Amino acid sequence: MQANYTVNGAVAVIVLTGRFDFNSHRVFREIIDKAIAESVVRKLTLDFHGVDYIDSSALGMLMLLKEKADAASKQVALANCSGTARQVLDIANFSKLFTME
Amino acid sequence: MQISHVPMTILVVDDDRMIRMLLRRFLESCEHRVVEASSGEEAIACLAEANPDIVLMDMVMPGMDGIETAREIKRIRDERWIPVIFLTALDNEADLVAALSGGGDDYLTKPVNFPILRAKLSAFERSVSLNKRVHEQSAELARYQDRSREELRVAKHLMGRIVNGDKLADPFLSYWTSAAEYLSGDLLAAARTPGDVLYVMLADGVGHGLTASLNVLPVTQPFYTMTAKGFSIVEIAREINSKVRQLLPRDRFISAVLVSVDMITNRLEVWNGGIPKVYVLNQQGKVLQEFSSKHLPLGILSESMFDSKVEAMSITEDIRVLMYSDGLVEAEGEGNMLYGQERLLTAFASAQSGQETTAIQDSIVDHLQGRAHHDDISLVVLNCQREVADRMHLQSQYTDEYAAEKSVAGWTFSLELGASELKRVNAIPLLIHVLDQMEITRRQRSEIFLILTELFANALDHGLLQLDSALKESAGGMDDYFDERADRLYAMQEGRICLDLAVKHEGGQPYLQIDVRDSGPGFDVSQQPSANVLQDVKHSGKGIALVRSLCQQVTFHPPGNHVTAAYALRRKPALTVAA
Repeated sequence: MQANYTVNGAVAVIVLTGRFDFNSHRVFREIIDKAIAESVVRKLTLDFHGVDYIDSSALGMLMLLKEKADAASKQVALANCSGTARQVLDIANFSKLFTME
Repeated sequence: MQISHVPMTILVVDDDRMIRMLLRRFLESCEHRVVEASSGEEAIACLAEANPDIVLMDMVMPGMDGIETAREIKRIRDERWIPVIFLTALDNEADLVAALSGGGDDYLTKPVNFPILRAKLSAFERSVSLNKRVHEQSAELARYQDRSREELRVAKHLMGRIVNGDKLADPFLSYWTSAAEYLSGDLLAAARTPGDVLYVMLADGVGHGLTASLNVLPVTQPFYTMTAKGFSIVEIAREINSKVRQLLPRDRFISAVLVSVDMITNRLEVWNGGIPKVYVLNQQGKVLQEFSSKHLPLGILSESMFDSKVEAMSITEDIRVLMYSDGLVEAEGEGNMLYGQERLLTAFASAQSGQETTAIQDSIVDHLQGRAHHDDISLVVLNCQREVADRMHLQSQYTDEYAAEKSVAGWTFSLELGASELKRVNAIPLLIHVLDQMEITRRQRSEIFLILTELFANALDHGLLQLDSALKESAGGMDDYFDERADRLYAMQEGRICLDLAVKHEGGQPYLQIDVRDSGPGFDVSQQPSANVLQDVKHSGKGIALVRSLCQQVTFHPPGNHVTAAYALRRKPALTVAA
């Protein structure tokens, strides 16, 4: 998986591309740590448009992100989830934890 | 500039004692350790003990010559590189080529030029130490591999013991599991409550392999102990949720579905947090109901946020319940094509009753065409047949013993619960614990459990919460009823339920007297149904009809907030079976 982010006002948009699974651990952790550390950022939006697959490890990483964001009083939203990614998030009922955009 | 100097052990092989001495003196001055050999044979012989990092060797020696010796050294030490530098008086090119292609790594002409020797040695020094490290690391890796293989073997054995107990041998249950790695992160557990209700849990931990497998361990123990005590599936899910949250790191949670099948009250309940849809089909293969995941997986929410809503349906015919982990539908066949729900349901529906797991297994093997699947696969089928349930019940009565003889010294037990306890505590498992102190048979235990459950539910739902059974018949059915029940229980400010158990005798016959009182306003006792409507499929009043069928006497005392039930502790089995 590849990850890039741009800061737009108070929102950091993190664009993910490819398979979001166990092997994405390092990439994901590095990018969210950087984005959370940006002091102007109040909210992180993960753009799932380019994600074609996610597994349960990815859900675990989202939990870690939420924990870190909560600790820094920042919000997290998941955007453009579709296909398999959407299904996996729905089965786990993650819409109860994250804002879906 | 000198790179960090690593002292090496150098084997000097020469038949000329003077040359050996000269080399020793020089090499020792460079802080290397020196081992001498006067012939090829001697060099081979001392190789293991000396364990040199570099060999300096004369090419021309009596006996084994340099090239022969070098070949032998390389053969013996094949897994670890050992450079051989030839010392030679030869200066013709052909011989040098033979020396280098015959196992030598470099050469020096005699008489030895010491500055050049020093330069060559320091060039080898780095490769030697690098090589040494690679060798040590690969040995370490091999040791680690052995160790982890051994740990996995033990873990697999243990996991097999802990996870898939003999309890999975339930007449309703068939299953198939296949791990993506050596160990599965899926877990399957099944057991029956004291009231003979079948509970089945399918849990799927984050990831797969050993860590996932360890993650699902905290769920087994609460499942089995709480099922044995008769807690509800929601209470079990709640307990597991707290346990997982307490024990596992934040990114490790557990998707799980718990299903309860009660063939006495004909009720199926499902709590699904993160597992794909559970399907309920009839014997003809028609889907009667789907239970999709309504909750977050276990271990994410705090206890106060935990959502304890169950979904339910009435069992009105012989049903088959299909549960599976996502690894099943996500198994990739040719062209990364997923197996999918459609293939699964087709395979299921076209299978003969009782052959479902085998049929699905065949269909997925056919789909994979020899490919490996990447996630753990679990498949569970519950074939809930009235005839099987009745036969089990009959067997338990047939093997029933007249244990009551010893049990019955007169005793009493009382329990009173106020509003806040009623919100938190399930009283029935507590009472079952008390009953376990009596010597009663398994069947009696299960019947008393049922009576207590029904009378308690009656007192709480209708006595205190004033719920109307007619709600169960409404469009939303059981769901509406349970939503309303949860709301009212939450809002309840005051209310009390007293339970009394006493063993009494009448005409030498011992019986258990159960009294349940509630602080509600009561109801018109003449409206209660009698035992003969047991076969009625309507929900209303069915619980009480069931209690009547099990007890020798059930009396509602006006104004309807007090009921007394008498359960015979010694009696002949209701059904006699010809030998």
